[in-house]
Amino acid sequence: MSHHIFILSPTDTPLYSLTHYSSKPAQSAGSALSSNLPSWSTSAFAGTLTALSGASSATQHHTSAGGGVRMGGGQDRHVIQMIANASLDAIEEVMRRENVMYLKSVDKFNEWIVSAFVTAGNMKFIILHETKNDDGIKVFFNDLWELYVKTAMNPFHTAHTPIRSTVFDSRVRASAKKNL
Amino acid sequence: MAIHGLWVINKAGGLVYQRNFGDGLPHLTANEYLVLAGTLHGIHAITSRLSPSGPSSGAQVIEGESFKLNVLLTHTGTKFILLTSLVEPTVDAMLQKVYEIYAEAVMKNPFHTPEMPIRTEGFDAKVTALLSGR
Amino acid sequence: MAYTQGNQQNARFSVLSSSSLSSVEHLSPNSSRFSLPNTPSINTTLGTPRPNLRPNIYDRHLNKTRTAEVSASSFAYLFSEVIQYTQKRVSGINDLERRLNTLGYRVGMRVLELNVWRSESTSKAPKREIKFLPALMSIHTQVWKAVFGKPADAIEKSVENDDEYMIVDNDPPITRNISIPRDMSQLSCSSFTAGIVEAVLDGLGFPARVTAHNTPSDTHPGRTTILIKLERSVIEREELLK
Repeated sequence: MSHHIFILSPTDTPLYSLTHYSSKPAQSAGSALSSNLPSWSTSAFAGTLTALSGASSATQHHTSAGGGVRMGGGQDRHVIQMIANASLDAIEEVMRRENVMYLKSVDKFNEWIVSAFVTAGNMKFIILHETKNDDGIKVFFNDLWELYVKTAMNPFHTAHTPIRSTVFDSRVRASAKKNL
Repeated sequence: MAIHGLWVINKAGGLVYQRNFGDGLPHLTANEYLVLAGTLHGIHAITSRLSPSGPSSGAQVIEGESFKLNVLLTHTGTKFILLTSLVEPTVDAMLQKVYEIYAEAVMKNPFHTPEMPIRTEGFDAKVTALLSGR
Repeated sequence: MAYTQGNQQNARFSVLSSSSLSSVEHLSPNSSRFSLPNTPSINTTLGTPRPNLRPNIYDRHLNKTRTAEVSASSFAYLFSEVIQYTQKRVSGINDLERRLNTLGYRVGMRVLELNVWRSESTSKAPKREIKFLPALMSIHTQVWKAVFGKPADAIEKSVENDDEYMIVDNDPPITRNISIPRDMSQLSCSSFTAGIVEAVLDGLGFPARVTAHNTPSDTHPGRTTILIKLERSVIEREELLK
């Protein structure tokens, strides 16, 4: 079972992303090849390799456009990113009305549930998950929030630029391992 | 009990601030003040060299018949000169206050160039509040 | 004696940033090109340089400096240098104000995130501010307190324009020691503060153009007005939310 985590700037530029494979039993096997890949989104080949490994991303796009049909693995990087981006509309609509930061299960797409967290400065944290885990995600978001604020405090970090800190990455992974 | 004037002399002997309080002092031209300040700077240098007991901060008070010149030398070589009547018990405290105002209003002001004449409104206003009400 | 500055001598601003320890890990530790000399820092034991254990910003608690203060004098000297540095690199007053605004903006973004984290992270359901007036109030009190150690003196709404609001500070601490020369009388160094306000509003989703203006009064010669001109979209959204 996997979780896809994104941090987006107020202008919706992705600043950080992580794919976390939970040790909890997986629902679908997913693609063996893609799960061996480094989970950095910056790996531009992830999607391509998934496609090569057997999943047909082209047909998936078609079926998703048609709607209703449950996709195969749904683990294709491109599809994941598309779902995350598509959920932004839903998130933005809710965050104008609601004053809470944690927006749980704000959107749904096939097997993916989208939960989000919006900071005071309009940074968006987005998680794609397959099963409900509101409390775990809440704790994870809180950790991520604190780590993000610390990153923002770093005078060498320029706001709204990709977060490349290895310490940040390892802390996020540690929290994901614990809570997701 | 009267304060007649305040001078500030930079470390090179240039007069960077001069102000008269009341009508006690004769009116001199800016050039004359510059010359007087330069001379005082020289005299002060002499007095600091003459000390029999090692290094000295130089003259602190120069007394005339009807008034005295009180000198405060800072660590950076700036001199504050207060011209007062002969009996003026709070003069040391007053000089310290002027120094404090200088540190606040002049040195922290980004529009002041060090060692150049002081044209800072804040300094003027605060010095006026301190000295002319007396 | 009319001079009563004595007790302001030791004025202190509160510290916002917890970033006095900078982290350098973003310089890619695997690349020897950017490797930094292993100078022993205060926190590591002398003689045993352990490059990977240098103090890290992620190890510091964000509340560590919550009640800490910084000397107002130190800040005054720093700010004075900032202005002198900036002034050498600009052509004219508008340019200078714009640059000070930009510097303030960087501060404001951090102020916002840190302040809200400090107040909301312990709550069960952390909240964001989505309405303009409460947001403005929180700038007037919370942000001002966090940055200057005191709330601002007033909030006003423009009578002529419905998209203009003002925050008034009778004696802004950061410009207390600054005397503007006559030939630059239009300049307000509180443009820095305007930048902070602009960043906070922007972050909260209320884009606005924020400027600073000298509005001296007889009792408050340093009185400054921070003028907020909201973007049309904000006004329209506020109308919808009513």
